[in-house]
Amino acid sequence: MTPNDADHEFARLLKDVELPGVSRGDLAGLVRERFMRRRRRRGTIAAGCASVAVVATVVPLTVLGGHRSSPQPTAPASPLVAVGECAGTTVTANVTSAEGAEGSPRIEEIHGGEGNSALTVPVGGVIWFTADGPCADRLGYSGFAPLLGVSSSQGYVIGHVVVRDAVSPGRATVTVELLCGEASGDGACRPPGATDLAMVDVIVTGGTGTPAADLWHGQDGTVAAAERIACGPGPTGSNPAVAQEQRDTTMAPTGDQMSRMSAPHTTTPTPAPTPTPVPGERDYGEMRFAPPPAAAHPAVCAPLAIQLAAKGPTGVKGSAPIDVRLAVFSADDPAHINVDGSSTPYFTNVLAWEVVYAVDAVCYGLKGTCSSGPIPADGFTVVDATTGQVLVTEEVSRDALVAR
Amino acid sequence: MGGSSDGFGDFVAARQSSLLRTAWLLTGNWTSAEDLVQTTLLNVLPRWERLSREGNPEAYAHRALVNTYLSWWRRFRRREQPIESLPEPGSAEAGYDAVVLRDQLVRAMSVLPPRQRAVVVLRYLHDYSEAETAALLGIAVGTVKSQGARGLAAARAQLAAITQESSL
Repeated sequence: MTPNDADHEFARLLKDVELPGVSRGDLAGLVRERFMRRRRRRGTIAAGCASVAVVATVVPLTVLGGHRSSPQPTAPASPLVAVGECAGTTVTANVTSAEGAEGSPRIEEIHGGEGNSALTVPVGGVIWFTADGPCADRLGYSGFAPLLGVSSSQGYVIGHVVVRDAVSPGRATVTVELLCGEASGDGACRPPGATDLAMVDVIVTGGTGTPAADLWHGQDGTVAAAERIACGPGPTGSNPAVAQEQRDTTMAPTGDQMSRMSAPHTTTPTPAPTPTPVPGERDYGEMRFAPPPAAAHPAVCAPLAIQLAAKGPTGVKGSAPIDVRLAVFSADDPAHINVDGSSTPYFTNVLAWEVVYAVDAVCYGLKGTCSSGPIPADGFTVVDATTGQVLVTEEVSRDALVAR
Repeated sequence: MGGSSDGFGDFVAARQSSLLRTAWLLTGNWTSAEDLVQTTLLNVLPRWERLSREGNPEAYAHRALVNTYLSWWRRFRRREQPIESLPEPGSAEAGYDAVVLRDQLVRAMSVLPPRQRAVVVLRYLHDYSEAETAALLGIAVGTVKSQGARGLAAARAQLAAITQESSL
């Protein structure tokens, strides 16, 4: 069989393999229902954001004005839902010190009303809420947007609070709510909409080291802050990794390379180890931006980097930047793919400008149809701060970057 | 609720198998695939009227699906645990061979980095051209060429190894 035949054979397999025989039900109906629930919830989140938006600027742990004044319980603990068809529904907060941290999470039961003890979590920590009982699948949560992670409908995990590094120490309030459908109205719910069941403060501590914000040497993401960084004289030289990547992407693998890549490997390639997190690092998955050294002196100044980034990626129309920072950039991908299936990243510890912009529109066809966006997304372009070459352009979902 | 008066229900009914297949090949498990498709369609629904009037809803859905998948992977990658076999229920109708093949194929695809997996799926499952795949993923045509070729080769090699291993 030639490599070409084998390609066709593999493509046929992708198309023909039998899917698991799981009933799909009324998928469109399910999507509409989730859409309505999300729309209701989004309204609550927006309101919550407005009421506690000052939290992140108050450092550290200052008690805020507003309807809450004490992290300690002020009333006897009450069940989350005591009456009606939802009686017996419970919510538990699971708190870990860091995303992916090993060991058992600290578990706190959430009681109804405002009498919950505050949840203390360090920067980089994670809280997730799990629900149990008759109305577990109708629970949601809302809160200060930069603290909110993914709301999951899988199982009874009703939401994650991921305290990202960019969140300053401070306090925010998370509200657990019961979604109320038309059939509700049994005393636990006031339809239509959602009833707030419990409020719980989240206190974000600064962790053990230097606050993440300080490591960025005053860079707050604004163009003004980026322009204050000493720079010049202008682009110089070229990054050899860019040339390597261009060679890789323009030259098809040779027949010999293809044969070696297509030959059965005796062992499964070992996954690359997870890099050790750097304090203050902005981590987008396979791409990471670490704070630059204090003495970093980019040859390319911020305004030029923004201009270079504005050329934009294929298929995405970018607007003015919404975040610009000088950083030390590393990426697991893009990478050179070796014949044994392993990969060698092109870019490791490159002083670079990270330019983030909102994706105004998404072009999804070859004819430049761009008017039906946006997919909720941001994009970022990484510009080599020495050579001025664009290293990477990426589009990511908005909530992956929302905690800037 | 999933009525077809505005065409959205019809679109979902016609394309859900294709979208689920795509999502399953990307995520490697059925639960995540279903959630991924639902999340994708949540992005399509509010734009449906406009998409159906002037756009290409399927291409838009593919783009949204891949974008969401890559974002999920970024967020949850550290929780991914490689497993020997897939916790996927078999079905009475599905023959043993089909279940085995499905398991082998997903395991073979799982060795690819996420973006490479996306390129392979768009190119070889949906037959998008290199230029179309590049436009959908927001990357250069050259990257599609190299990632596609290498991804396909790696997946084929892995599949051959898995098949060989299970026939021993």
